[in-house]
Amino acid sequence: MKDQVGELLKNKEFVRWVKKPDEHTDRYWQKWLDAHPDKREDFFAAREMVLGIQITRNELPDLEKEKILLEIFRKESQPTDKEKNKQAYTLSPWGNHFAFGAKVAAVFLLGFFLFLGLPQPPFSPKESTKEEAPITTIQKQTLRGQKSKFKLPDGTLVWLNSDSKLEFTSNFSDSLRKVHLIGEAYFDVAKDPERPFQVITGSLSTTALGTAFNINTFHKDRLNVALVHGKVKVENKDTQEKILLSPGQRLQYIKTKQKTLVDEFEGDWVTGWKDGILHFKEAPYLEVIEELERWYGVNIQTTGSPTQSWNLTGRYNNESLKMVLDRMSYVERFEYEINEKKIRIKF
Amino acid sequence: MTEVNRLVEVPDQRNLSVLKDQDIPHQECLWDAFRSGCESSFIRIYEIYVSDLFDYGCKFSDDEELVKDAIQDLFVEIRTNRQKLGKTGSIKFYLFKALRRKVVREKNTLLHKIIPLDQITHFELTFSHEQILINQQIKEEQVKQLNIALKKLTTRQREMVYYYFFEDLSYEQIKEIMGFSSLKATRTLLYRTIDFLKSTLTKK
Repeated sequence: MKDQVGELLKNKEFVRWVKKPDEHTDRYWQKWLDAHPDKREDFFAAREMVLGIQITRNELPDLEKEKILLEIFRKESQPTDKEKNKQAYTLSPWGNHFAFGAKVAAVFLLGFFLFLGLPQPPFSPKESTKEEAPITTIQKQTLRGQKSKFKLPDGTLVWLNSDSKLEFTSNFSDSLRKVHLIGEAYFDVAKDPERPFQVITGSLSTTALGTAFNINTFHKDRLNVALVHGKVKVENKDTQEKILLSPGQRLQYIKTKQKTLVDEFEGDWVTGWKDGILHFKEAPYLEVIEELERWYGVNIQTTGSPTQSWNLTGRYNNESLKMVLDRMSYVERFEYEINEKKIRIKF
Repeated sequence: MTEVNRLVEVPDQRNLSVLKDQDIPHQECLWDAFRSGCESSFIRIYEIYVSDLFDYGCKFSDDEELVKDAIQDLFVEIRTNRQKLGKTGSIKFYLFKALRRKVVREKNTLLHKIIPLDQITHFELTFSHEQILINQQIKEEQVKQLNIALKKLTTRQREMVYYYFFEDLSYEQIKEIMGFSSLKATRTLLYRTIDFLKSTLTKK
């Protein structure tokens, strides 16, 4: 009796789940429990044990935290510059605090300008009026392992997923705001009833007014459009279909079969990527590997093959690749090795 | 709703109060940004870890001022030498290791002697139910036994329980921070500790 308690306590994944459960691990341990009805008592005893062990904690008051941080900034400036040092000492702690606030602001601003500066078209002469301003095509591209968020000339917010490309013009026309997408993007469209917003992806064009939606072309054979709120119209050149989507609906177009499906999606399954949430829903091995390569910008080599067919469901909230592989390898039973950007998976 | 889900829904604040390292998104990036001179990243790192570091430092010294000084020195050091620092996959582990060294060294110089680490740690462990569950498995009598068992653990065993159950360190990290000779030795002591605690449940 109670032989399983020790085993579970020695299992790091079990301890981690008890302390910090999530959807993915809940499912795993529920399955475990279903498969071992005879070990129920042990299972719950082990869980109580992990939760029940307490340790006294020494708290540092917030004021003290501030004080130490100020000391850190003061101390660091001492040996480097004696002149400055004198000045710094005449300053009250608040003066010092302000100085350091200014530094931070500068860093933020620089980042901001760099970011804005990159995609801008070459300078146009100041005297040129709006009509004369040359219309340039702007491309925004992300590499594997990168994501970006930016504003279009009309104020529409775009989150561009890894390994994706968005093309648009520096000035939208008076009648239509048109962009071309390869990969995946989430659009929060600026309201402008006069000029519909249109995304071209292969044979699909998705048209919206003020609305938020997600488009994904990563699958070789599938185009996805998911609507978060508002309304969009999806037109398909190949099939001549026109479909109106409601919030919470996702359209999938299977290219080889020229077939269109509409289903519903829940919560952040479709759009979580823009907040760093990596999702898999009953995903086969190849799909998981491809997604990891794109998400983390790595190359994955596999030796051996999975013993059973994969059907991975999981949610990883801003986790490092190592954490994700740790959890996967435990459930799917493989070993892995990380060598900079090269990953080896061994079954 | 499934049983597991229903059980985990009850928030257990005390156990969650310790910020887990894996909860910090993109920490490699944060560390790299700090190393390349980003001040806001430095402040962010300080704010994320200072509470845990203070708590951890106090496990090795009764002297709170000494712990605060050590934390201050540690951050001044990494800030001044940021370009010389290497990459890290776990900022917390890096800082924990450095702080532990500092606190212990400070204390030894203050007292002009070297005290074996085993005699001076404060990893006080107790057992009590977080919440009352239906079908509670661990009964009152066993709670008493568990508390006795926790008191019987050596300081090293208690320190290990802290890393394993509270700080989510890996075996490799526990090995490194506690200076075990091998992973095997680390595992052996942890397994022995768990088996000992578990044995209290079988006692009548």
